[in-house]
Order: sequence, then C-alpha cells, then structure tokens
Amino acid sequence: MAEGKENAGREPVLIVEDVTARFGEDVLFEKVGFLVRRGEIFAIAGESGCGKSTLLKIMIGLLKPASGMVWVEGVNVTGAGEEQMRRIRSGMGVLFQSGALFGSMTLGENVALPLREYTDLPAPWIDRIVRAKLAMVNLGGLEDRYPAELSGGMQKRAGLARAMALDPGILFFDEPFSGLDPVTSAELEILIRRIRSAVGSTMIMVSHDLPSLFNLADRIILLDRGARGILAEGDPREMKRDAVDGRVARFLHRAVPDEKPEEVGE
Amino acid sequence: MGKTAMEERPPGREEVSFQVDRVSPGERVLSFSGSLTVHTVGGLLPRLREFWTTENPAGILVDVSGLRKVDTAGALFFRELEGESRKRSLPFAYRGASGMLEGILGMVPSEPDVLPVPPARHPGFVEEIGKGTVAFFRDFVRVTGFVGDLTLAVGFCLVRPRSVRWGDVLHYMRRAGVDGLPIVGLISLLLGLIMAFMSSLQLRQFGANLYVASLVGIAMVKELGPMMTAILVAGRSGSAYAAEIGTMIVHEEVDALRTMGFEPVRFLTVPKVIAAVLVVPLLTLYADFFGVAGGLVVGITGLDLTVHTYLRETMASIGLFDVFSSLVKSLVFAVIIAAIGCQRGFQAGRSAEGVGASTTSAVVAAIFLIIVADSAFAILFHYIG
Repeated sequence: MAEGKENAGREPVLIVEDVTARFGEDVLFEKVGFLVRRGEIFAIAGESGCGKSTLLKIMIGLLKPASGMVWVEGVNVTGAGEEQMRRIRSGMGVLFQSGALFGSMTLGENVALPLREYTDLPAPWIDRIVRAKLAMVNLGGLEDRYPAELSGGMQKRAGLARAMALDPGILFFDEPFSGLDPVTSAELEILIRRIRSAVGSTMIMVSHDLPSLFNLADRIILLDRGARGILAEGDPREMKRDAVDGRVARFLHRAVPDEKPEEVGE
Repeated sequence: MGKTAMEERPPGREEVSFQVDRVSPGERVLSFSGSLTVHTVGGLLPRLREFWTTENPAGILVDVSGLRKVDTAGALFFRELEGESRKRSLPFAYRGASGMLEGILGMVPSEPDVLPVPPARHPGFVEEIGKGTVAFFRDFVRVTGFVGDLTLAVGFCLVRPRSVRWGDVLHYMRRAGVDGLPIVGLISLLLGLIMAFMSSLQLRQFGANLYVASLVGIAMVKELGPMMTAILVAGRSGSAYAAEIGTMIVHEEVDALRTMGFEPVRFLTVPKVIAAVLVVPLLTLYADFFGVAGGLVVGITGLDLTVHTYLRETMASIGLFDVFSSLVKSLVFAVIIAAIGCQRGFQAGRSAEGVGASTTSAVVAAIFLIIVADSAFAILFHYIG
C-alpha cells in the first residue's frame, strides 16, 4: 500500500476492509480496502456514479455496506451500537456537499449545536467558541445571519465551521469544491490547509475535482465504476508520473491539466 | 477552420445538393455540396433510399469537397451511408474531406460506446399486485417502527425535559395554533350556520325550532369540532411537517444531524408532537365555540329564538363528559397528525418529487387515520358514556 512519506508509520485512524456496496441489484464497488493514517489528507476520487459518496456514507456510519467492515479509531463502525456510534461521532466532523446547514437556525446556532450537545460549557463560552470558529472560516460577525442569506461558498465555509466545532480528530468532506467558482475553490483549499496545520485533523475527502485534490492530498485512491473498485492508489504526483495502466493515465490526464500552461494550448 | 466556414455561410435558407455520377461500370460518386445539416438532411433521405433501390453499385466514393457545413445530423447521415455500404460489402471512401468534416465524424463514431443497460422490463399484472402488497406491508412496518422510535423519543424527553427544544415547540405552537385561528374559526362558524339552517328547514315543520340548538351543540362538540379541526390542522401543519423534513433530507440536513450524533426523530419530531398535542385541543374548543355561535346566528335571525334560550338549550344538551371526550379525541388526532406528517417526511426520497409525494401522503394518511380513530372513539364512548 503506497503511503505519504511524512505520514508513513503513523497509526491508522480509519481502516476500510473489503467493503462491498450495492445500489439495488447493481454492485457499485467490490472488496474495497485502504487505511488512512493520523494527520493525513486522504482523497477518494472518481467520476460520478462510481460510488464515492456511498463509500463516504459507509465510513461515517450513515449506510451499512453489503459486506466488509470500517474501523474508526479502533471501533467497528459497521457493527457499532448507538452509544458507541455517538462516541465515535463526537470525534468526527462532516462537511456535506451543500453545507447542510439547518435553515431554521442562524449560523451561530448551527455551529453551537454540537457544542451544546456534547459539552457542558456555559453559554458565554459556547458563544466565544462559535465566534472563533466562524472567524476561522472568514465569516466573523455573521453569527446572526440565516443560511439562506449567504452565498453557496459562504454556506460551505459555515458548514466547515460547524464540522470543526468540536475540533474533531477526523474531518470528512463530501465534494468540498463542487459548485464553487475557481477563486472560492482556491480560497477553500487554502482554508483546509490552514486548518490542517492548525488543528492537525485527519482529513478524508471525496471529490471528482482532481486538480484541487492533487493540490491538497497526501494520498489518493481512484475509484472506478468499470473496475468496481480501486483503480489506483498512492501519492497523486507519483501516480500521475507512473501511470501505466491505460485507464489510470486517461483518468488522470483528462482531469489534471499539465503543469506547463503553454503545452495545454490556447 | 470551422469558424471560417461559418463566416462564409451566406445568410438565408440552408440548402444541400446531391448528385450521383457513374465513373466506371460499378463505381458511383456521390457528390454533396451546400450545407448538410439537421435542416437539410431530411430532404436527402428519400433520394438516398431511391439510390439504393435503383442503383446496384460496386463501390461508393463520397465527394464532400463542395460541402460548406456539416453538423451532427450530417455526420450521422454519412455514418448511415458507410453502414449501408459495409452491409453490402462495398468499398467506401471520402474525397475532399475537410478538417471540419473529419472533426464532426470523429464526434459521431460508427459504433458509439454504449453503456450496457439491461432492457426495461414491464412487470405483469400479478407482479404489480405482489409489489403493491409488499409495499403496503413495508409501509406498515415502517410506520410501526416509527411509532416505536417516537414512543422512545417521547419517553426520553419526559425523563429529561431539558433535552426538548422548547423554542421549537413554541414556534410550532404558533404555526399550528395561532396562525390557524382565523381559518378554523371561519370554517366552524360556517359549519354551525349550515347545520342550523338545514336542520331548521326540517324541524320547523314540526314546530321543533328549539331543538336546532341542541342539534348544533351536540354535533359540533361530539363530532364535527374535533374532526374538522383535525382535518384543517392535517392540511395546514401535517403537510408542512412532511415538507419540512423531506426538504431537510434532500439538503442532507438529516444526515448532518445523524453525523453530529443527534437522533433525528427526537430532534425533529418531538417538538412538533408536543406542539400539536398542546394546541389541537385548544383549537377544538375554539372551533366548538364558533360552531355554536354560527347556530346561534341562525337561531336568532331565522327561528325567533332569544340568545338566552338558545344558549340554555345548548348547555343543557352538552355534558361535561362530551367536552372531555372531545378533548381526548382531539389529543389523539394531534398525535396522529404530527406523527404521520413527520414519518412521511422521513420516508421522502432525495428529490423534489419525493417531497411532494410525501406531503400529499401525509395529508391523505392523516385524514384516513383520523376518521378510523374517530370511528373507534364513537364505539368506545358509546359504551363508556
């Protein structure tokens, strides 16, 4: 298994073991397995319909796989009981594709929700943390706004602030860059990198936006519908250089423009 | 290149001309000129059919040097021609193909990559019945499971009242209760008016005008007050609950709740159920009052009764047990409306259509269950009372 150099040897925080997922009678992927080490930015890439969002939902315990197991921090998520699941979830944050903010609550209330549920901090402290988290994602001062009053990029950042409310050990991102313009997308990349170095969370992202993943990820797996599983795994840059398999090469070169702009043409 | 060709195109209608030349005994040259596009291909098809029936070529050469413009339909036309030649094992070649034509032909491969899609199956009558039956029982199991979840959630909240989101309870009380006052009042008033008027037409013949008061009073308090209120709340709030939760599912908000460790049923349903249970009985009393008031208007204006007589008759006909049973009924209706509204919301698919279907289903199922429950109460109260 290829691993990011700086993270090799660190303990694994998430292990996916022979997971198979079905959609109705179709097999989405079969016997997928990988592990993610602490502090890594790990990316799962693939085209639409390859099952990457399903895989994410299996990892966060929202869906049960047809077979196989997922271990998060040493606990089997696929077989965990309610109480165990609650403990695991307090250590993970999820940024959903649309931000998934609660429309009936202000940004401040959205971010405060996990803090109120999992901590016994007094209200003024929760307010302070909420303000700090929103400031971290460049939304300082917008605590009293409702999600509907914000742009898509801002909603996504607010969703990130809520996912980070408890400073979770693992952050999951579902299509973090979809629906964002290139500038906002680049800003989000910078933000994610800043958060990683500040908080040190392990980050697992699922996306079809290969250029952004290549900028961020330490390690990447390519999920392919045709192969019904992992097409390739490793350091994204090395993978691109060493791509021998016709499909990997096609997949990568189509999605990631060459580094020298003059070669790409006008 | 394509761009230049576009610029050179003269304004006006696009036209294509087609001619067949016999260069050698067997070989035919098909020359095209003009624009072979989606607007002109249709005119060529009969001529092509005629060509294949009248001629018996030994080889085909397609001269496209005169073509100014070819679009996807034009390229498909050539692919068709190629296919027909291949079927007859004829040599086939292009002459004078421009970069533009090659470009568009490249976009329309002769054998396109088609994803293997299993052919659509049309289930038979028996299969449909089977599927419908299975779906009905699955729905029953889901509703039962939901009732179990809801009971657990309510039990949890009774033990720990601080875990209830009381702000939300107040919000839903206002939405279902305060905002519903005008329509519930108006409908009940009209209901009282209609009942009094229709019954007075009959009772007047026997000089039994006075009994209009008891008829309206008993009907409103025992049956129509609770039922009409419940139906109105199901239409206004039950549907809103289903739509709200369904939309939250579409926006992944329910997934987000789960990942944050919240129990969605407890978080979203309990405040709605509590609000409905507190508000629907009050609305029912309010509806009873307006129904009686509607009857009173007819009694005074049409039946020469005094306010005092009318009210005295009404009060004499309604017992405390009637009011109490009406409140118990409305309480059960409230639970049905809120629970079904939320349950249908939770089972909405992840699409706008799913949300619409769940909203409709919430209202229909709630009204059906309200009437079933009302029948059960009618029998129960008959034996108790």
